[in-house]
Amino acid sequence: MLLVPCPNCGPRNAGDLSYNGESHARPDPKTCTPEEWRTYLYLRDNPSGWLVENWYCSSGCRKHFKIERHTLTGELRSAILPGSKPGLTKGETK
Amino acid sequence: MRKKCSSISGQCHPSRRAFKQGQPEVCFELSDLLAQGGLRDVEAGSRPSKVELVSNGDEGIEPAKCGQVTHALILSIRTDLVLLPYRSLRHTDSMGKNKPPAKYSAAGLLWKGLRRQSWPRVWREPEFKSSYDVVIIGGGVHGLATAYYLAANHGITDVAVVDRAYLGSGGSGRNTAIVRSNYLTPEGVAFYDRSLDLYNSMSNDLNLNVMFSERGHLTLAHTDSALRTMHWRAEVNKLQGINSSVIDPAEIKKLAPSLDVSTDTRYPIMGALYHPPGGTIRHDAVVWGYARGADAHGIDLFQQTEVLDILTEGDHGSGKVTGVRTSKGDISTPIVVNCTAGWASTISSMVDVQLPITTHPLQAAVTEPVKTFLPTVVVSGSLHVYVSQTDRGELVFGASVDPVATYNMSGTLEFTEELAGHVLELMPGISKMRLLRQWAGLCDMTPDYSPVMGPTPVDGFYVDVGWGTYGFKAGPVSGEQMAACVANGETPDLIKPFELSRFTEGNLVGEKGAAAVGH
Repeated sequence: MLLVPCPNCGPRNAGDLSYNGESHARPDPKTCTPEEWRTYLYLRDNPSGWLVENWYCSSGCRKHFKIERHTLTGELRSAILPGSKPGLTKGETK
Repeated sequence: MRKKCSSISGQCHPSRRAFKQGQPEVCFELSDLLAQGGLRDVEAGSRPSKVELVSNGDEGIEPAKCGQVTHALILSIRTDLVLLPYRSLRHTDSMGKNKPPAKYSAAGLLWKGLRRQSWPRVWREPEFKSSYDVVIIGGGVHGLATAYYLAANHGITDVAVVDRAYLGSGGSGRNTAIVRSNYLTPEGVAFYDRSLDLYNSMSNDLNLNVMFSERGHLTLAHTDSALRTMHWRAEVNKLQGINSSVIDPAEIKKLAPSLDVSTDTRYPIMGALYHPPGGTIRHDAVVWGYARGADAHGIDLFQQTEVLDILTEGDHGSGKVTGVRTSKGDISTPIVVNCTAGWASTISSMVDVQLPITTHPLQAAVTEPVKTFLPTVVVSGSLHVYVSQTDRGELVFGASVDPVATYNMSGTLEFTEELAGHVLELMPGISKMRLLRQWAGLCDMTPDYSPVMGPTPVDGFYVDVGWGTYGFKAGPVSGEQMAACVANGETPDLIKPFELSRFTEGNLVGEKGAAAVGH
């Protein structure tokens, strides 16, 4: 079982939250090429190691946040709410 | 005497290298010796676990004493003794290149059984070479099938298959062994149908019984929209000559009497897509069959050999492959094929090729064995479960992939709980059955549920990944097509739709509608 530390609600079972995958900076849709946009949409690093990812506290505070998780051990390092550093752009989450 | 010893040490069996290092004894596989006739004098019935050989001049080997009968196949030989006739100990004679493996047959089984002989090793433990024409990373169905077809169809035998653990230790040994070809897109149907053809003739082709049971495949529909997708799939399938049709609950009850088809359940069964050519196969046998076939063609299979890096020249992400760095040493090669499924991204990142893949575990479970009562494979998308009964009588359950991407394969209680609940909604009669064990395998999920096959921007680096939950079904055909792709240097038409470039070009092949269960 994975306990995800929501910055507002504290540690919660992963099943209570929505997992939104790897966190990548979104390219500017006005200026980027279709290839850049599709790269953002589809291609993933998918490392076996530390990964910054997006979560949504769907049955709690309904906030989007990022956590840093080790994809092999399940260890968690930090949780970041949008607005705090390094900032989450509006379109970056669902 | 020393001369004779050194001539033996020149043979390729790794255990014989001990001679060179001047160690006091060296071990042979007894089965090798028996197969070679090198131990003709050992009484077959005694099945010696340990035989000490003494000198018998130039006459040959004679066993001095036989130890206790155990399962061990080790023969210990003192090096200060004469080992003759050493020619008959030659490893390469029986397992050399381009020779078919020992033929398995009923007569052979009887003969060996009556004489209580043991069987020769199925594949070699080859000497590590520093150069190969092709290196395939991943010793599962896909990697081994690619190696086998490279040799069998294209005559390319200077091939190494490297695996971090043992052959078939990944998804090939963890899947629920279901095969079918009732997919949703025309590309997918053509592809998986070819795979089913190869599975059908596999036992003959590989001379190994893969226990293909063509028992039929039922995909249940619990909602109107699911039923509509079933009709859609059935029509796509029929157009391409696949036996696939939508049937009503009464027919379902006839095919699988244990299913609850009443209308007062939470998810009433409204119909099903029935696909008679689908069924189950013993997945380990498929791995072993390909490994044995590839080995017989002279392909080297290296287990417990981890790939640490892929060596390239030129720019990152667009250069040229020059070799592979493994835990056993460097191999120089112009071509590397990545067949590592769940670990595909970790291998591709070595050459800076980004893949549209996230790795999710998929859990499965098996019950205690009972009498046969479930004659078909049953799949329910809405209930996230698929179930089939093995020849031993166990029920094998699979589910959807876990929602969180991870490389961790530990099981969860949530899975067991949900699975049990959903299975009982389908088959209330098995509530007293006990679960024996559960396990997980890693699935390399792509955004469109279709695989990624063919060349990459890095010259000489090929991928056969992104299989998600369909990998085992596609094993033979992907091996065949990847072999053609590597050998001819161009992508065959059958796998053209699945090239990596489709993601940046925007030509996705949406196959999610054919997923066994909603993911």
